[in-house]
Amino acid sequence: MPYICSFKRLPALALLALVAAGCKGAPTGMGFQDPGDAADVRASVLRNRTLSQADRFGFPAVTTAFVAASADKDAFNLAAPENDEAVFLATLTQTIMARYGLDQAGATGLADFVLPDIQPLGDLSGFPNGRRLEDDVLDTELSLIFGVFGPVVPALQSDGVDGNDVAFLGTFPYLADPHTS
Amino acid sequence: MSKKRWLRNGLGALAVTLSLGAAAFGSYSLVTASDHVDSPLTTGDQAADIADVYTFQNGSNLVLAMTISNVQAAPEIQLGRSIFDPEVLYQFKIENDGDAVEDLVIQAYVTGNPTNQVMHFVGPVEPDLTGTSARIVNGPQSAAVRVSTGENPLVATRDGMMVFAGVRDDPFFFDVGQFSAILAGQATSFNDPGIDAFAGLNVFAIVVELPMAALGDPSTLSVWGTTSRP
Repeated sequence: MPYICSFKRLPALALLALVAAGCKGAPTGMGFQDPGDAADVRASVLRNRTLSQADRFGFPAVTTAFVAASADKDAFNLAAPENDEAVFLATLTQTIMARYGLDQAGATGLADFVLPDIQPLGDLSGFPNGRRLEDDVLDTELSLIFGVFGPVVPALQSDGVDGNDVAFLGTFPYLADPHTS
Repeated sequence: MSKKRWLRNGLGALAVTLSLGAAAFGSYSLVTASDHVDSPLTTGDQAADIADVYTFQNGSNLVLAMTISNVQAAPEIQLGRSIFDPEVLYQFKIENDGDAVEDLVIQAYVTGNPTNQVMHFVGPVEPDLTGTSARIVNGPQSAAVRVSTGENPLVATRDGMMVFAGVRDDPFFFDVGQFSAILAGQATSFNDPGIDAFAGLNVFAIVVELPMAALGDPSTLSVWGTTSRP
C-alpha cells in the first residue's frame, strides 16, 4: 500500500483531511503515530538477516583516549563489552602508562574504571551516573587522568569549555535545533 | 575533524616522558557537520559511526539519545537533504544484572525513499541475539516517526514511548584547537575560557524517551549504543 500519510509536512487542515480519508495512523505532534503500513515496514533491507556490529559507544572517549593503535581501535569497536576486562584491560593499562605517565597501579585503576565500556545509570545525577547533555565529560575524564589516577596536573584538568554553544531544549527531543548556516 | 581523532592523537602527547612531533596530529578544519570518527573502519563508514550516547532522566522517564555522523561520504549534513543509511541498525542496549550482556534492546532503522524517511522503533524487548550479532526482533512495532530534515523536530508517541530521528545541533563541546596546540608543543595548558570547536555544527540524532518502569530500576542498569550492518 503506498505510503500516503506523510510525504510532506502539510498544513494542519490538509493533514486532518488525509486522516479523515483513511490515512493509516493518527498523527501525534508533527510526526505520526503507528503508521501501520506493513509494506513500508517490510521494506527494510535489514529484516530477517543476521547483522554484524560496526561500532559501539558506552563511556565517552574510551577508544580515543585509552586505545592506542588503529587496529586495536577497530577491534575494540567491533567487540561486545561482555569480555572487555578480559580482552582489553592489559592493552588499555599499557596505553595509559605510555601516554600519560601513570604508574602501573594508577593505569590499571583507570582502565578498570572504564571497562566494561558501558554507561551505568546509577542515580542519574550526572556523569558518570548516566550522561546528561550538559555534562562536561571531557573535564571529568581529564580529571581522572590528571587528578585521580595519575599525577595531578591542574593545567590539564579542564579545557575551559563548560557547555554547548546553544541552549538545549527544555522538552523532547532536548537536543537543540540544527544550525542553518 | 572528529573529536575522537584528535583525542586519539592529542591526549597521547601529554605524558611527561613523551615528546610528540606536530606531525602526529596534523591539521583539522571545521565543517558544517561533526565528523565523529574514532577508528579506521568507522572513518570510512560515517553512517554507522556513533558520535555520542546520552542517558538522563526526565521525571520518571528515561531519555536515551545517540548521535551519528552522517550517511554521506562528504561530512556535510545539509538540512532537507541528508538522510540516514537504511542498511544500518541502531540499537540502545540495556543490561540489568551486571554481566555486560544486553537483556533488553531498543532497535531503530529507517525505510522510505531519501526525501521521506521513516525511523521505525522496536522494543524495549529481549534481543534474539546478543553480543556482536543482531537481528531485528519480529513482532509488534513500537513507535515510528518521520525523519526530521529541517529545523522543526518531528516527534511521535506510542504506548508511552516518545521518539525522534533527524538533524540536530551537535551537543558535544570541547576545545580541540587548544588540544592541537598542546600536541604541537605550542602550549602547555588549556585556556580559560576555551573555544568550543563543535559550535555551529550539526549531527544526526536518535532520541527515545520512555518510562523507567519499562526498563527497570536505573541503579541496576547500564546502557550502550551500537550500530550493525548486514
